[in-house]
Amino acid sequence: MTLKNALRVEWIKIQNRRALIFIGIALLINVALSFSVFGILNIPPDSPSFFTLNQEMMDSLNPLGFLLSQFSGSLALISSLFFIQQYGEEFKTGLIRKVIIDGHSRNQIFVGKMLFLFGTYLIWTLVLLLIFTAVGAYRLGSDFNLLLGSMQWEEVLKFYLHLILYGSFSFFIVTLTRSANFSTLFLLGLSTIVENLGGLALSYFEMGYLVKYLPFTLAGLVRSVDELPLELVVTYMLYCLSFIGIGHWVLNKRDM
Amino acid sequence: MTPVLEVKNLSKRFGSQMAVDQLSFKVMPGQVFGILGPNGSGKTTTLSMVLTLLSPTEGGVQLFGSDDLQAGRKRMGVTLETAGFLPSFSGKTNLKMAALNKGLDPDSVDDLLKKVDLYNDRKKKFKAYSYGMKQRLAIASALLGNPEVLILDEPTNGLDPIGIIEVRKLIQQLAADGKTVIVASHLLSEMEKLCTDIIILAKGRLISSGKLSEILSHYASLEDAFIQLTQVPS
Repeated sequence: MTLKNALRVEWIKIQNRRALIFIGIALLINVALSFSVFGILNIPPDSPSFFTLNQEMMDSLNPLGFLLSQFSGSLALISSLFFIQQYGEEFKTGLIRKVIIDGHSRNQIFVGKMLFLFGTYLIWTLVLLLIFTAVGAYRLGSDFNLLLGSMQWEEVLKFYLHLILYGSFSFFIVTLTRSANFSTLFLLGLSTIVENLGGLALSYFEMGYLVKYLPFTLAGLVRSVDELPLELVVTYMLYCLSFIGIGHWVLNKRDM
Repeated sequence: MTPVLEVKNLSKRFGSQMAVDQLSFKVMPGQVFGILGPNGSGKTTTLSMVLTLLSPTEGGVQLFGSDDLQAGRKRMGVTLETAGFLPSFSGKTNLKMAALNKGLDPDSVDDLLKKVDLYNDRKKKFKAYSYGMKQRLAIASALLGNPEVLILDEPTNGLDPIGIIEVRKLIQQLAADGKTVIVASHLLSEMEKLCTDIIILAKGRLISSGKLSEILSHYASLEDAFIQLTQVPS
């Protein structure tokens, strides 16, 4: 199978209406709630108060970084759930088995999934940037020039890196469980547990030093901190490589 | 002549249960080869090992005289019990995806849809298909690229009498076209009408093998042979 054919197959699969409706509704709710919570839609176009909403974060991040940091957590979850739904359905319907039977190696399937996963994350990143640009230009008028002027690709990269951990974990959990529903519950449950554990540990046990090494907390740090210590960068990379590596090993070795 | 499929001392263990036990057989070009056995006898497990979906505990498989099973699989068309189609897409879209996966022109699927009598229902969603239509679409998918060998696992399972006759005619037509067909089934009367050669499995072991005509010369019918041969102590 050529790369062109593989991309055509993925393009057909991505048009799965149920998955698209799911992702569309989730994204709309998320964006609507987020914009509402941050008051963006209620700010008069000539008001400068938007960038003082969270001065502490604004001091450490540029405006684009601020926006991306507000959205990346939920977008990472939504886009990962989209991948889980797609990939999980391929296991459920026997499509993965069929592709192997048709003469493809499991390594080819792995490469295809990686391309699909990180390709769709790139699309999500670009879509979000477009939404910010469109809504910002409409509502914020001249203030939005500040946002555009300070647009730094480093922030976009950090946002994308944040997605990668979620993507790696999604690939790992679906390959392991072969179930979209179980993987969805697991991802939502684990991310919630880690968030709450993080809060508890910080508030009551002064264990912040430990909490920052948890996978989803670390993903948040990657997107929101200007300079990440080297050991956290290494830990982050190890998480991503481990999830992808173990997923690859399971896909290759396990009976179908 | 090189066998299209050669299974040598193949075994598969799931925990403490031996699903396939030291199984050996050959399928030669042009045969309609039946793998018979009751449910749980190891038919699907054997085919899954041939198709590298399961890794053998012992033994090995050769396709077209070679250990390169990936290359061999590309020369085969297969239907297994799980369809491998996405339910929310139409039959035609699913078949186009299968064509792309095999590196074929997706616009070539219309002829196959006509061949399996699904052309008028090509725009229906796969989940709206009847069981027989799903089976016929699976056979159409197996026929993509005009493979030399067809492996059909329980192709008439769950079909009504008309569906069974349609699938039987299709297999007979394929055999007449010179294709090698390997069919796994427990429907003995169907296998008796279709096969030139058979093996009979019970509890993962080979009970009998040979030309269907030779086996039938010793028994009143395939059903009689099957009942007598599979009544073996464990």
